[in-house]
Amino acid sequence: MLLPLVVGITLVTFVLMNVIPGDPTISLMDPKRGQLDPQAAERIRQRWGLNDPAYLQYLKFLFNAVRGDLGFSFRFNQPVTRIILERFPATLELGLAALVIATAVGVPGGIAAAVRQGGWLDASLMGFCVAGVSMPVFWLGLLLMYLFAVKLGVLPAGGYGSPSFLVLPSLTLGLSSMAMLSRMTRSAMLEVLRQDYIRTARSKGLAERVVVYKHALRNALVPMVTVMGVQAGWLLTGAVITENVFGWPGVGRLLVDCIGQRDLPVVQGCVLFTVGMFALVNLVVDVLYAYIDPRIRLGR
Amino acid sequence: MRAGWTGRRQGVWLVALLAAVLGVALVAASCTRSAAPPQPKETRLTRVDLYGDPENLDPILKDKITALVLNSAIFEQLLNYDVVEKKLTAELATKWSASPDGLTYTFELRQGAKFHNGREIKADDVKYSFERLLNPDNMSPLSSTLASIKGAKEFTEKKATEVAGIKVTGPYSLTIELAEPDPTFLLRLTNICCSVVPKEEVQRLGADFGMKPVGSGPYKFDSWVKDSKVVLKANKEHWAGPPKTEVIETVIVKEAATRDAMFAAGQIDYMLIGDPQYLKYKNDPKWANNLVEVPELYTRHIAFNCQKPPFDNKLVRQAINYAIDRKALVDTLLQGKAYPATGLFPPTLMGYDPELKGYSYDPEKAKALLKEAGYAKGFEFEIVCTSHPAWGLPVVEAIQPYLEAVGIKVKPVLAEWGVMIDRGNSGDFQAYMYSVCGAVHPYDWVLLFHSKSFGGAGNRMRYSNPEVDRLVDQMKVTTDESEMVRLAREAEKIIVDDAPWWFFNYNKAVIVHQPWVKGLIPNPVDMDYQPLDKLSIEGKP
Amino acid sequence: MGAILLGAVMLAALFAPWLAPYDPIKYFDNRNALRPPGREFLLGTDNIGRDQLSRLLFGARISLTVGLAVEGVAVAAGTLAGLLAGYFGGRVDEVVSWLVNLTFAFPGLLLAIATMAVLGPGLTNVIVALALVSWPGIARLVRGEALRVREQEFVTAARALGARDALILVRHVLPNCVAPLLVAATLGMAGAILDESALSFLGLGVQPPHPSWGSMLGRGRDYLWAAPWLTTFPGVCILVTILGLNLLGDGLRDVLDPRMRGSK
Repeated sequence: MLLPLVVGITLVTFVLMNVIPGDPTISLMDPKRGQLDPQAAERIRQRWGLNDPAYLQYLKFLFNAVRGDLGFSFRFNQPVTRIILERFPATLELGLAALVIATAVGVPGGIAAAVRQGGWLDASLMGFCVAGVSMPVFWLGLLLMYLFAVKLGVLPAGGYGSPSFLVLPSLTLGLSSMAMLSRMTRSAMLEVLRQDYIRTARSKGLAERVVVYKHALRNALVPMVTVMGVQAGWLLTGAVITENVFGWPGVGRLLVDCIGQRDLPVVQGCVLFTVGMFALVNLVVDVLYAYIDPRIRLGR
Repeated sequence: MRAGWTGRRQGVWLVALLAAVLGVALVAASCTRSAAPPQPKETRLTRVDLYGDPENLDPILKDKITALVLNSAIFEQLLNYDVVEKKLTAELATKWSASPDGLTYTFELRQGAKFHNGREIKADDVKYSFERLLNPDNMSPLSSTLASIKGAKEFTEKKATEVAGIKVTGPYSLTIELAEPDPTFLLRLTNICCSVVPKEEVQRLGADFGMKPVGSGPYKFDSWVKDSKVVLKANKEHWAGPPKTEVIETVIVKEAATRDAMFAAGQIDYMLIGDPQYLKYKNDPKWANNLVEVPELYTRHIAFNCQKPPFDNKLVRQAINYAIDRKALVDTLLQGKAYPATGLFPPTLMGYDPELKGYSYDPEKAKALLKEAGYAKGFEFEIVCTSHPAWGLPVVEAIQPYLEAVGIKVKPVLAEWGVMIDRGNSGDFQAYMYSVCGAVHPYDWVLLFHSKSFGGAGNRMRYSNPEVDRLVDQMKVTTDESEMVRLAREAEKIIVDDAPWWFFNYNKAVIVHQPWVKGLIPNPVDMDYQPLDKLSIEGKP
Repeated sequence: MGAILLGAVMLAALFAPWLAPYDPIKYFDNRNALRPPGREFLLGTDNIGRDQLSRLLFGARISLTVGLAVEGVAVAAGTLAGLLAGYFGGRVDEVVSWLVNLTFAFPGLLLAIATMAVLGPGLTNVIVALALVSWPGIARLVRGEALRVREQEFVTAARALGARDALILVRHVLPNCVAPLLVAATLGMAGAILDESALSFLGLGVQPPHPSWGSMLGRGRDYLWAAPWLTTFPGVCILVTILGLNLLGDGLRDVLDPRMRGSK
């Protein structure tokens, strides 16, 4: 299942990048200077096989990729694997922080809203959540930056370093996931709370707290984990815009930069890497399913 | 009915566990980076890199400004060019002279200058470094910098094992013989790609030399978090004495709004600002006195394809130059952050002609010229442009009404920079908008208009005038500076009259700095290109 | 509530030519550049002196066009693929599912970015790129629905009575998909408009001088401190529209399909 997917995706990227107009050696030029020695450019094209027919370049890439070599970027003069791995910790850190925020706020929020369905807490929480998913990410980022970095001066506006740098980007990135997750939690809980067995549990005289946390939540977990899985996939790979706003040195920013610079090997590498991350997250979600609900077996 | 929930009792625990696992993973991830705790005792200066990661710090691989600024502090060349005084100064060479025919140069090296690894620099290192730049195996895109040296061609084609023209005549002296005269040769030696590098470190580090560069300059490379930060530390053993600031930190932030916020929060000590921000700082009494301004050596322009109608007609090109009020555009669109162009050369270039007045705003004259050219009814054309705020789409949008007033319709075609250059190189365009050239010698400027420079070498306009060609060829063999200036001015006059460009403006580069930063210079080559070793922090609260 | 917000935006878009005090594209006078909101220009002017209010009104047209067109294409393509896959199963299902999984294995925005990099900026291309990442969701939804309906008695009966496949699909399967589709398309529109602003942020969006909210935000961000109204108002417009769509989608879901509550 995964292998044809990987081949398909790399092929798509490869074709896409090859039909983009623009010579890759242009990435070596400084935009302000705008000159490149044609002989040097030709030398570079020959050395990195850019003159080969496209299918040959692709086969070479696949052949090397199987052996764990994602190619070489002449722009960085470094192996692609290394370029990506150098930026991966930042992406992972931001994605995990956002996921922690989304989970830590979204899940209890959703439960609280479900328990007090129709109350003011429910209404304001859900209002907040709809606003949260409706917000353009970078506008949110800029607003937060304006408030906390410029007006209040309590947090750094951008950059990467001590944990304080992580706060604004992870909030920005995590907000929509948090909103999504808490909506999901709420509706899953509501669904479960309506079931007969909950009514039975309540009629048995069990404390509301036990009913909610012990009986209902467990059954609401499957859809919640599904959403978390989807969100995790997004957060760990799709933070392009947040990374750009806050100057966060992650893989998403690398990918966008490299598309602009025609750095095909790095683009390919990032794509493969991203797909791998996605697959990994899905695997974790499957494992969690099996753990939460024994009826679901692995390896169906 | 109870099947779903009786098994184990971990509803809330599972969520807690999940959060805990994520938390631990997060901490683990945070620990992977080497966050050096800030040491308050060191004087630390933070500058910002606007364009992106330097990619690689091997001096022979990069001439992007992001890498150049850093490498100019890490590495040294034989000579340096003082952009303010407009003269060559000593760096690793203390004395240099040229033979009367301009073909042989003699250099005397500084004694006691050392690489960061402690070894003294000798003439052999210079030869090694230059050959390293020329060696085709090293894939330098900049090797043509030294192509005028005798024997460089044979060496590059692998017909010779060394460059015949570079001769080491003693431990601290060498001569370089050129194959043909090159008026810009000494200037070329000031380029970062001509840095002197230690052979043993290059061999030890291999491809990693570009990741952990070792040079001889006033700063040593310390650390680099890709896409985020580069830290340099003072080289206390430098021959000129230790630099004024102990740590220079470069943070990479591409979003202008983010930079503004970081500057306002005091996270950045100085930064280049763009047109959108200029007035904000200029009109703010807090910052108005903390600006450094200079006309940069770039001329923003629209280049016309001189081989395709309607721009094969000189009158049409002149008409466009008359039709647009460049001063009004500079004042409003660019918020005064530019100098309206009077010709090709910016005022900070050697050879700038204060007498040259260029084109005035005269729509009537433009109409008359169009009529004379046979375009009384006007025409429509496409301008390929990037989204750059000062030489891209907004400018094209702003000139539309001016040109419409004389009957010309303009269609902007937004393209990425690389695509635009590609189309420019291949001639597949009617007009495009750009900003070049950045060189400090007028020869490099007029060379862009020589008919031998068609395409990628710079003459994308495919402009050809035998008189300009002759003047440029003459400049090539001229060693006398006043004669050089005379020829350059003559060539400029013809080029301006032929109008292969719409001459728009010269960028006013502006730096805004915190009050405690001292030593910034108005650098016309690239304002961002500050002498890091001369910067200091004084009286920071 | 959602309908009211959305209705207001639609009216604004519809009557933009009459409501707008100035020409959104051509009218400009450099002397009016970067005017803050005031009497003459209610919401201020942009960096080349165009009236922001007029641009926002016309921008509503573009944003809604992007949203509607993307979902139109996505629903058409997704429904067709989903129906065929769900109803016929076998090879068709395999191919469609593979394509759907292929797209899902790729972060949507990145795929859109890559597509835009190839196609170049422009309104049509934005629509194509976003439709490309939107259809699999619809296809998956419809496929599930088709699978479910296929097994139901009335379909089996219809088939036993000799009804043609196409007829069954249109008569019986499709109507069952309408409610969830409507919900998904409404929410999808919100996503499409947001993604358009994201593409514009990266400079790959609707081609200027046309005033898309996304590109206005994208280009106004350099003026965040100097002229905050250039980002505030488009931001609010997007927020209001998306909010309207999301509320409407939620409302529709509650009304049309209680069973679907909360699933995405």
